Amino acid sequence: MSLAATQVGGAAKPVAGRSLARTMMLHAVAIALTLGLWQFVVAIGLARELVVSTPLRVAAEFFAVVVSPRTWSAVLVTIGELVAGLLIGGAVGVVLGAAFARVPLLDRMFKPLVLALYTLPRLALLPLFVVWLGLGVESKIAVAVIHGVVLFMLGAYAAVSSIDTKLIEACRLFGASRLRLLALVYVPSSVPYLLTTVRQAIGLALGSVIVAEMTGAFAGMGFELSRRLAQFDMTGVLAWVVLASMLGLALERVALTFERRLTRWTPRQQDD
Amino acid sequence: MNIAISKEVRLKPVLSISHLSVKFTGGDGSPVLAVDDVSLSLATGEILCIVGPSGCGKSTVLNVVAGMVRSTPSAPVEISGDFHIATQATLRSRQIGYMFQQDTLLPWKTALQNVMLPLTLQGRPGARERAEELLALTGLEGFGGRFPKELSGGMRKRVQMAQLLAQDPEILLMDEPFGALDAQTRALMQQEFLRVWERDRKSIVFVTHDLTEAILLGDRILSMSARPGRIKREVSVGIARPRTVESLVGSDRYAELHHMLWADLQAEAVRTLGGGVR
Amino acid sequence: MKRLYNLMLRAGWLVGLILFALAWYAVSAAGLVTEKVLPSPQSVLTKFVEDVVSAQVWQNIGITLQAWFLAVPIGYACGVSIAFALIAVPQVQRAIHPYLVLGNSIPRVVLAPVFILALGLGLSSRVALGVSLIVFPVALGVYGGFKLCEPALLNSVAMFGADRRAQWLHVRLPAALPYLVSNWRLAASLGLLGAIVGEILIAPNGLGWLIRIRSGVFDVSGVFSVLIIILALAMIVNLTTDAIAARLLRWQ
Repeated sequence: MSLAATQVGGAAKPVAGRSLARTMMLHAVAIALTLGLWQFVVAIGLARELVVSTPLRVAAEFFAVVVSPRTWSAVLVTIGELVAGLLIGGAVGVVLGAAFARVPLLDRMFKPLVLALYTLPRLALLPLFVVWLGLGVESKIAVAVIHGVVLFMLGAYAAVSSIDTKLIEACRLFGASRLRLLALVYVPSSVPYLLTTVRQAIGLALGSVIVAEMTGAFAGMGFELSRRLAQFDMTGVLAWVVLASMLGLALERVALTFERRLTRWTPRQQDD
Repeated sequence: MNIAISKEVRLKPVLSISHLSVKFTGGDGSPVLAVDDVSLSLATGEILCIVGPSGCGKSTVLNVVAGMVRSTPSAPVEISGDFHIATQATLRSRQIGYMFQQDTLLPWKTALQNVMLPLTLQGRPGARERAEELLALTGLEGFGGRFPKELSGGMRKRVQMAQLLAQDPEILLMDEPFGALDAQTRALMQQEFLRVWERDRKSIVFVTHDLTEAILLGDRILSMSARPGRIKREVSVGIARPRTVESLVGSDRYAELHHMLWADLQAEAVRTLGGGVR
Repeated sequence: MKRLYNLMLRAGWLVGLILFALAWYAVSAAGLVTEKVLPSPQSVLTKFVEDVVSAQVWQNIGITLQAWFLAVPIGYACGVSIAFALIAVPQVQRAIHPYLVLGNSIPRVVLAPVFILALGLGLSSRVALGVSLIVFPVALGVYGGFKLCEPALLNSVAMFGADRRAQWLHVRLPAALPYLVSNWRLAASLGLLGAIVGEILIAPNGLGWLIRIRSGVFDVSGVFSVLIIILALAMIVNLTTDAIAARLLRWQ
C-alpha cells in the first residue's frame, strides 16, 4: 500500500456566500415546481378544484384574509386565549413541579396521576371544559391551562432535580439565605429548561386552542376555520391553515430568540 | 545514541513512513501543519513508542496509517509523503489493529460478543470458542456475558485487548490506550499488556505521553516536537526483557532515558508557551 | 413517625390514589357541586362498568384503535425512512431537512379540516392527520439519533473489517435504538391524538365522538368513563413499549 504524494481535496473549498445563494435558489425552484405541479394537475382536470383548490386561489384568498381587520381580531382572540392559559397553567405547573422535585413524598403519591394527565391526549378533555365553562373563551383558555400545567410541571421538575446539590452546598457555605439561594441557584439553573418548555408549550397549545375553537366558539382562528370547513371551502381552509402555521412559526421564533438571549451562559448545544 | 540495537529491530520493517506531512484546515480557515516531514520504520516484532506534548500530531500519524484521516470538502486535509506496509494480504482491516484511548467496545454487545465481532466480520469459523479462549487469556474468564457498563475501566481495556488479539493484525497501532485509566490500573494493564505481547510479539506503534510507560514498553522511542510535529530524537531503550516497573525505575538506564526525554518535553512546552505555536 | 413516612414513600402511589378518590368523594358528597358538573366517583365507576360490557362502546373502541394502529406504523415507518435517507444521502439532507424543521414547528393539528375536506369523514382523514403529526418529529428525532453515533465506534469496527452494511448493523442501528424506541412512544401518543381529534371534531363514530355526544347531553360521568377507557388503552400501549424497550436496551 503506497500513498505517494497525494493531495486530497486541497482545492475545491466552497465559498460560503455563493453556496448559500445557490441553495436558496434551488429551494425556490423546488417550491415553484411543486406549486406549479399542483396548479397544473387541477388545470388539466386530474384533481377537482373544489377538493384541492389551487395555489393561485389560496394565495389570493390569503391576501384577502390578511388585509381584513376581522382576521386580526380573530388572531388576537386566539393569542389572548393562548397567552392567558399558558400564564395561568405555567405558574401552577412551575410551582407544582418544583414542589414535586423537592418533596419526594409528594412525588411518590401523585406522580401516577400526573403521568395519567400526561398520557391522555389532552384535547380529549375539551368537551368536558365546554360542559363546565361553556363555548366562550374560558373553555379555550382551560385547554391552554391544562397544557401549561402538565408541560411546565415536567419542565420545572426536570429543572429542579437537575440542580447540582454541590452548587447549593457551596452557596450555603458562603452564607446564602434560602431566598438568596432561590435567586442565585434555583432560578438561573431552571431558566434554560423553562424556556425550552415555553417553546414546546406554545407550539402544542396553539394547535389545541385552535382545534378547541373549531369544536364550537364565537370567535378565534379555529372558529373561522370551522366556518370554512362547514362551507366545504378548501381555499379558505388552506388560507387559514397557512396563517395559523405562520403564527406558530412566528411565536416559536420569538420564543427561540428569547431562549438564546437568556441562556448565553449555558454550554452551546447543537441546534435541532 | 550509540546504544546497541536489539536483534529484532534489525529485521526488515513491516511499516515504513517517509517524509509524511499532514496539513489540516484550522477553525479559522487557515491551514495548520500538524505533521511535518516525519519518517519512521517499524521492525517486525518491535514496540516503537512515540512520545510528545499533547497536540503534536502523534495521533495524526497513527490515523493516517490506519486510513482514518479523510478529506472532506468542508474540512480538507492534505497528506503528502509515502508509507509502505509490508504484508502479504492487502485487506487493510486484517493488517492493522487500532486501540483507541476511548472506550470503543460496543455498549450493546456483551464482552464475549465484542471479542467475537472481528472474527465474525472476517467470517472465521469457531468464533465463540476463540473468543472465550482470548477472554481467559486476558483474565476475564466468567465475565463474557457482561455488558461493558457492568465492567470496570481496567476490565474494559482487557476486553479491548482480547478484541485486538481476535482481530490478529500484523501491526498494532495504540493511541494512549491506557491514558484514561487511574494510575494503579494503568500500571497493572501495562504489565498485562507486556505479558500478552511476549506470547506472539506483534509489531506495535505505541503513542503515549507517559515517559515511564514508553520506557517500560518500548524497544525504541521517538520523541516529537510540538506542532508542527517533527521527530526530535530517536533512542533505543536497550533494557533487557522481561521488564517490570519495579526493576525498571531503579535502573540507571531508566533514569538516563527519563531525564533525556523529559528535557525534550520541557523544551517543547517552553517553546509553545513562548508563542511559536505555528 | 419515621417508619410511617417510609411506608408512605413506598406505597405512595396507592396512598395518593386513595387520597385523590376521597377528596373527590368528599366534594361530591358534600353537595358542593352538582352531578352535572362533577359526578361522584361511584357514578363514574358504575358508568365505566356499564361501558366495559357495552357492545356499542366496544365498537367505538374498535374504530379509534383502527385509526390509531394504522397511523402509528405508517407514520413511524415514513419518519424512520426519511431519517435513513437524511443520514445516508447528504443531498437529501440538504434538500429536505429545512422543510422538516419547518413542518415540525407548525401546529399540525390545524391540518385536520384540510384532511377532512380532502379525504372525507371516514377513517382515512384521521389516519392522515395522525401520520402528519408523527412523521416530522420522528424523522428529526431518529435522524438526531443516527447523527449522534460515536465516530470512534465506527472507526473501530471499520478497522475490524466492517463494510458499510456491517457498520449499520453493528453500530449505527444499535446506537440509535434508544431514539427509535423513544420516538415510537412519541408516535404512539401522537397517533392517538390524531384519531381523537378527528373524532371530536366531526367523525360519526369512535371514542372521541362518544365524548362529544355524551358531553352534548351533559352526561359528565359518561365522559369520564370514556376518558378512563382512553387512558387505559394508552397505558397498555405504553407499558408494552416499555417492556419491549427494557429487553432491547438491557445494555444501557
